[in-house]
Amino acid sequence: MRSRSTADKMLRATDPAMSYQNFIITFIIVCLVGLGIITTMFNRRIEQHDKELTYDICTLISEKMDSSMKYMSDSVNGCAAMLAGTPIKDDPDMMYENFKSGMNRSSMVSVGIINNDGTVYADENEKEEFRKWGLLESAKDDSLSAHNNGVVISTPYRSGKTGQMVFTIFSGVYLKGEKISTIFMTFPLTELQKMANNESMSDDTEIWLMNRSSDNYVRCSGPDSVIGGWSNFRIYKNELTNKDDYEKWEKALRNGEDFAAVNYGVNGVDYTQVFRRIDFMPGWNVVVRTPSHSLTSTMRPILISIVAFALVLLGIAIALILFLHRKESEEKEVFEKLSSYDPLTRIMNRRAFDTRAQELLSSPNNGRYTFMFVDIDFFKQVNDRFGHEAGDRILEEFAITLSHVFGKDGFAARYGGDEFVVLVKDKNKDEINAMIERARQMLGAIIIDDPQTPDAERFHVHFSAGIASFPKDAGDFEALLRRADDALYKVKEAGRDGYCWYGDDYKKR
Amino acid sequence: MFLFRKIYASAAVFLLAAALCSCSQQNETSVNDDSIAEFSPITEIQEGRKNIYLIVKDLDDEYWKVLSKGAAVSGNELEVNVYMSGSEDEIEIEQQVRLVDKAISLNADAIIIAPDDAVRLSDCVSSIHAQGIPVVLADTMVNCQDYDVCFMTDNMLAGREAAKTLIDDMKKNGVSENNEANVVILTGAVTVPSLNERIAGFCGYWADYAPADWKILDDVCKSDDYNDAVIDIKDIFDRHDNINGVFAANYFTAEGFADYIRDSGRKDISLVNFDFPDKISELMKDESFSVSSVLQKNYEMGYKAVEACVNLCDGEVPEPKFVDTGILIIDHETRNTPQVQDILSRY
Repeated sequence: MRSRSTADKMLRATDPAMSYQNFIITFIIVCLVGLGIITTMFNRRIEQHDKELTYDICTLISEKMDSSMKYMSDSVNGCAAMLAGTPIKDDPDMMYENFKSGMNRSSMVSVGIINNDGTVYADENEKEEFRKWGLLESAKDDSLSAHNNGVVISTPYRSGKTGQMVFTIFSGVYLKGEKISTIFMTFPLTELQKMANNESMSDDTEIWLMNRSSDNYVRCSGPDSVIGGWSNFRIYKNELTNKDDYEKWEKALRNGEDFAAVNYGVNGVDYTQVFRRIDFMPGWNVVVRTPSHSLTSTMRPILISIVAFALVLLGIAIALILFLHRKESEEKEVFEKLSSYDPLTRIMNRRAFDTRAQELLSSPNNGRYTFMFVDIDFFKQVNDRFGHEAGDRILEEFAITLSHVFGKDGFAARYGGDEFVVLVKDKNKDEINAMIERARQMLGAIIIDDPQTPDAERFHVHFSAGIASFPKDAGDFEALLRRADDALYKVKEAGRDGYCWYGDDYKKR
Repeated sequence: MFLFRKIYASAAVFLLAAALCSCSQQNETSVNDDSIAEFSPITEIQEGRKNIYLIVKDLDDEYWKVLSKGAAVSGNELEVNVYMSGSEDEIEIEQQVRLVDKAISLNADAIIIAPDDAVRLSDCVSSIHAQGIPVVLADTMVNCQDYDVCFMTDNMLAGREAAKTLIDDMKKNGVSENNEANVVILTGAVTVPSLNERIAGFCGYWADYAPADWKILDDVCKSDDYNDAVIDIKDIFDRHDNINGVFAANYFTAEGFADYIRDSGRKDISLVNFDFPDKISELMKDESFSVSSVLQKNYEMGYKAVEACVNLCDGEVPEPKFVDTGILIIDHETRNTPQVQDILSRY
């Protein structure tokens, strides 16, 4: 069983049709894998491009915000230094009034002073904000100012006075190294948000100010969202397609790294998201989030074109291979026919018959066969008397008759000149004899002479046949052939026009 | 020739007036007047009084009924006519646009609006302002500065208070600061800016003040419908068996979780929720459950909005522009105090 299976495999391996199919399949697989690799590489390149482009946008905005924050912090520090030198430093009310009136408040929501005892000198609305948002606690936290240009910056909050998001910057007023009070200035968040507005950017680009510790962010720019409103990214985290990468990004954000980029999908949209630290606003980062389609809208059609072009080329290549294969098959078929069939009688030639017969008669277990050697009697006379055309016609008619009579149960071949052979399967002697008789009758009806010629003078086509049985008379094809030839000899010796089975005595009828 | 000039001039005046007056044209609406609810008086109506139009988000919702009660009381006290209408649902933005048009056409002296959508109704609010009609926002902010005054809960602050309450409640419920604990947020529809701000407030406070080992899970329930919320909550609790605290940011998730906690008997979980559905009220009566509710002062929103309209009509400039009407946190202990009962009686 095992050896048979191996043989089957070998047979299949050497089957040209099979190897051709394998070639086509391999070709298509190689092409598709190549296409897949190109597409993957292109997509990775696009992702990288998206990250780089988003990073550039993010860098630009964070630098602008950083400069803006530094300017605002310097302004507050400058005011604190100026107030430290005023002669009214012991009168906080007057100091506050002077501070308030001396400030150009066009870009500020409010200003004020906080005494070391915690008394706030500001308008009533601002005092209410201090209560609500715990701003006094922020102002007291000197540890924060030490790391940030000497100022403390509050978390953005909604101002009651304007209804807008604002943030407050605190700076200590120092005299001879001693802190005598703290001043504050409240700025609208739009001062920072307008840094994020860039007409050259896509409408889909979102820009946030994101808190490092809580995932809270304030929208600065973006489509269809409340600008300035708070949100928290936690509510989307569980839906991200690339949660692991996002967590790495988030870790980098929490660790206070300078920047990081991530690609992820949420609600069917792919995004590229980059953060950059704002050095002058500790704990806060600029985040730029852009849908990939808006960044790669120009590159994606190129990829689609390449893939389409490659598929068309693949299609053409496959069509060409199929066309060439078909042409080759047709030619091969012609050659095979030429090498296996007799061109005149269109039945098997000797070589093809031998190959086929040897295969069938290779084992006694392959069944019972009857082999016949058949000679057309006096064929030379036909050529001499009626010409070669008539001879060829006799050969054709003879082949047709043999095929007609024996073709259903076996096959016939032209073995040479006027010699034919027949191999029939599973027929007994009587059946074979009946078949021969039928063939004789059919051949007897062939008229070569002029129809006016009297029957006695006409040439009648008849034949001599020697018959041998497999495996009864011989165990292989060569021996069988010899046995049949011996039987034929007997017929010829006896004057032809008859048939004889190997081992039988032959008497001319 | 003169006749043609007259026709052209009339058409031009008509088009100009339509462009100036109509919110709906800016929003390209095709909603018919038939599809909007008529304005109904909610105060005593008398000739010669100022006419104030109140447009709410959802006419059938209890929250807006409480707000309109405040507006009605204020209107009667200040002797102004207050009419109310609203959209059928919070997503019917175009209906609000048509209602604004209608109020303007009825010569409104002032309009109070609770915008269905903070972004898409900005132009509409701006157009009211541009026509010199006082416009007061109630409950929800818009994405522009063209309004006179806004009365609403500062949801960022309210979220912070909710977080503070939950931390306190969990401690009272036996969760040690030194142990690991998990909290889940039931957000409701995340497209609603006020809910986003509540979540941000909650998370911001939690990051600053919660014990280091008390974490907020990434698993959130975003359902904005009671039935979906019940399913989502059960799923979340099936996935996590170590939840100690829950913050339900809207009405439906609070209702859904009230069912879960009652059915499961999980008294080890502390709940802080927004609004005060009946199921929460029932649960709170049982002191063995750890439940606190954040009540918004929607009655005050309505009351103060009418008051502000009257002042605006009298030429006063409101100060401040954004008024946080505040919140009230109630639990089993405080719910029966006279102050809370007084507020609850308005619900």
